[in-house]
Amino acid sequence: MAEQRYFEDVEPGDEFNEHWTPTRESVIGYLTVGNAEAGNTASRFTSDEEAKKIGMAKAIVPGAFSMVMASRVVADWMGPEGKLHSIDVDFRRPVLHDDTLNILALVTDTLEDDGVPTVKLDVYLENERGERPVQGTALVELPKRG
Amino acid sequence: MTTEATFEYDASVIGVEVPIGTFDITPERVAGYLQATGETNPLYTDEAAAKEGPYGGLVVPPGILQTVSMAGAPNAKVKFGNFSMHSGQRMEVVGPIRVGDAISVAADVKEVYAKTGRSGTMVFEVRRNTFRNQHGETVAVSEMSMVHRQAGGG
Amino acid sequence: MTLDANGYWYMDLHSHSTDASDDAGGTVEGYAKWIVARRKKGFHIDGFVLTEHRQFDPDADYTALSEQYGVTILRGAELETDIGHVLVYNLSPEFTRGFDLASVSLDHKEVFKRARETGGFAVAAHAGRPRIGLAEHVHGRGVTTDGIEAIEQLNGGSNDEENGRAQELAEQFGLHRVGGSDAHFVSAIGRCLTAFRRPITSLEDLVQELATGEYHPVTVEQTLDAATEGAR
Repeated sequence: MAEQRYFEDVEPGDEFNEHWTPTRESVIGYLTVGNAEAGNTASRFTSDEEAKKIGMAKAIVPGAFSMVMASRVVADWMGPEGKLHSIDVDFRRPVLHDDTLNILALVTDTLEDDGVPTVKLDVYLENERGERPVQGTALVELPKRG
Repeated sequence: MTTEATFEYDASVIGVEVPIGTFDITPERVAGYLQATGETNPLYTDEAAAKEGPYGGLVVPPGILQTVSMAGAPNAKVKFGNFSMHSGQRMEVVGPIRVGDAISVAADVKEVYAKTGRSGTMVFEVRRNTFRNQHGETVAVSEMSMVHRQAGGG
Repeated sequence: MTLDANGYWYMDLHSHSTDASDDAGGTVEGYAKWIVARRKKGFHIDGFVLTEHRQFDPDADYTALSEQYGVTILRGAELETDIGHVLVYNLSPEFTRGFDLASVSLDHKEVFKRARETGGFAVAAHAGRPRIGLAEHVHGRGVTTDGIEAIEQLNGGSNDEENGRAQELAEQFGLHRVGGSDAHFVSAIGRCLTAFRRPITSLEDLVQELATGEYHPVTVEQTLDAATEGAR
């Protein structure tokens, strides 16, 4: 099992990151999970042409896909006994197919909320153009030692 | 600071849940999701390791519910501005999801409100989806914010 | 409160908080805590200015937080004009009486001029950003930089190309350059800063330093103890 992170060992300023390059194939794979026809339908998420019609440089990544990738980074950071309670992101700029993304999770606060060891994190996606197209916060619960 | 804006929408849909259907957590769907997201977390991918973990077996990443098609979900039909976009997404995770679960999906419009942002007045519509398993337990709630505004102004 | 080994005082001149900007997710205390956490990792962030959108609350007071965390916390405003957004520092009652701060199309010439006349200072925000930054208005609409002394050249919400455009504008017209994070979330505070030559603990200090032109923008990475002097 992956390494467990404990509440006592976490402090504001801690950072964790993973890299992600969303390909057309992975976007279609993601969409197909809930909609078998996604791969056969031209949309702003699958076709550069369709995306250009709405002013995008190329096909874009669904916002929810970016959010779940950020939640994945948080899950990897906290370890198996951590609990992701919520994640909340804003979309500030488009995420494009084949962008080189760095997904960051940063601890901003630790508190015992009604006795529950809770950690607040900021989450971001950064791209190679120096933009943070997706940013938000996550709330997780970590176990205590002993 | 909120400026009262004139906008129209269908208030009758606010808070009224509409069943969208059932989403079966099939092994194929889970495999497709794990592949698309490049998931390596043993809680989701390693049966032996997961058995030792807090859920006593494999669970499924809650993000899988974000892929559910929302065709048929209620829409507040906001009439404001000339441009709308997906401005935010929120996911609240309540309980574990496992392969074989039958997740019933219900959708409603949580709220519609106006606020003044960097490009003048914007009208937000928050569409909410509630996911419940076959035992009637809520496993997740997600919210999608749509913003409607006048493009090219301010 | 002292200058760092290179002789600089680092201040983030552009930030938004949940107290007054409804698009922000960061609290003022969250920012202060984050700065303390960053300092432990060797970064230098001495303070920040809250520049909430289109408003200024003269009664908001962050002295207690400032003292608790050892972080200078000052207040300005981000106003919206016909040449994009403008950061204003040391807003006097005399200044605020003269404008509808909530307006999204103030006359920029009046804002810059009145700010200086009333003991304040104005800076053209995120100058390289389309539509809401000065550069596009200068190049596209023939707006002059008369009366504008400084621009925010390095903005944390802008991309590299936009910040580059702002740098070209500053060089072309000999404008002073500041840096600000434009933070809306906790961990963004202090990402981009302005390196001053003297400590700043009040709005009067800030205005005085801004008027000297002796400052430049830096990224937080450039404040690391081992970092060398120089702007991006």
